[in-house]
Amino acid sequence: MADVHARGVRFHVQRVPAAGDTAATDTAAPTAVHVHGLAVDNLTGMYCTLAAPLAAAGIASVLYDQRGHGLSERPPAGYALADSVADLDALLDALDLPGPVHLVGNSYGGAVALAHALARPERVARLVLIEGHLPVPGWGARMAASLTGLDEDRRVGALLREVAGFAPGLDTTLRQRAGALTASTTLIADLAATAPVSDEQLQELVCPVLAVYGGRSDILAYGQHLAATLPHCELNVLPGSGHFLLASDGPQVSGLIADWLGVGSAVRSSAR
Amino acid sequence: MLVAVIGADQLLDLEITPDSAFHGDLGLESIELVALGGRLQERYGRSVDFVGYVSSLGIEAIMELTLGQLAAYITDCLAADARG
Repeated sequence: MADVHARGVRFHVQRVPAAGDTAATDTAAPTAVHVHGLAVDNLTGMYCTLAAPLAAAGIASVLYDQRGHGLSERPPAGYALADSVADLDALLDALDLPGPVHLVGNSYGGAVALAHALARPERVARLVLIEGHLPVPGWGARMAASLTGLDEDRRVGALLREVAGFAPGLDTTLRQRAGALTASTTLIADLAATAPVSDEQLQELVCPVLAVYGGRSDILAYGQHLAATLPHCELNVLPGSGHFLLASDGPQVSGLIADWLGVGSAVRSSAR
Repeated sequence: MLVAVIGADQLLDLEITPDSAFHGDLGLESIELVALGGRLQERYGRSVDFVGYVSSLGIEAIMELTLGQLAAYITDCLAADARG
């Protein structure tokens, strides 16, 4: 199953069954649904770092490229946070995953997962936010500004190399990828118009939340705000790390997630 | 299978050998390699653990993966499965 249609858009989806599971017999454990970051990201990062360790721990994964990203269709419009949430909700229906599922969000995907959990609490068992963004007042405008001219901005390339350890050349690919997306869609305008999430809304979130942030990340304050505001939030800070935790600390992050989802003792190395 | 993932036009002019690197020689992005892996998984089933393989390599190393390396991995998996 590679292509799934939802809300009139073709999405690229990869399913990774739990170890020992077969296609005919689904396990009772909730599936982890992964939501990747914005513009420079697609499902590859989470596929390569999280899916195998979770499968070894008995948790099946579903990963999808968000609209406009990776191998999914790139419609010209529909890039508001509310659209990302509606896409996720429609995909859960299309994939016959009525829930509850574990939502795992990376960066912008964290904002999507959090907003989905607020909108559809009955569909979410547990929420994992890896360097998750948080739509506080002014967030949309800042995100829009950070994406404007990204393909031209060599500082972003330097950042990706130095902070995330990406090889020279890959940062150019990522900047071009982001530039193509912002140039051909309403993404930047849609982001700028995002309505913030209030503390009152956050205080109503019933599901347990694991938040993992880097101590040197520029958005660590979001993690601290979530830990102080959400009723059930455990914050883990990796002291020396920045925003791109999957690139810098993949094994540690996947271990934290597998442990927290209650199956850490079953984790074994996925390396052959 | 490669044609389905990256398109026939792009492959027409390429000389493909076991040493061809998916990214450097064939121009695949990592996301396309993941899609190819999904198709391999469908074809070979549980005896091949593609996600475990790329996970053990790391994000950087999969960009340098060659056709020969991937083929050898699949062959090893199928041989191990046959010994069972």
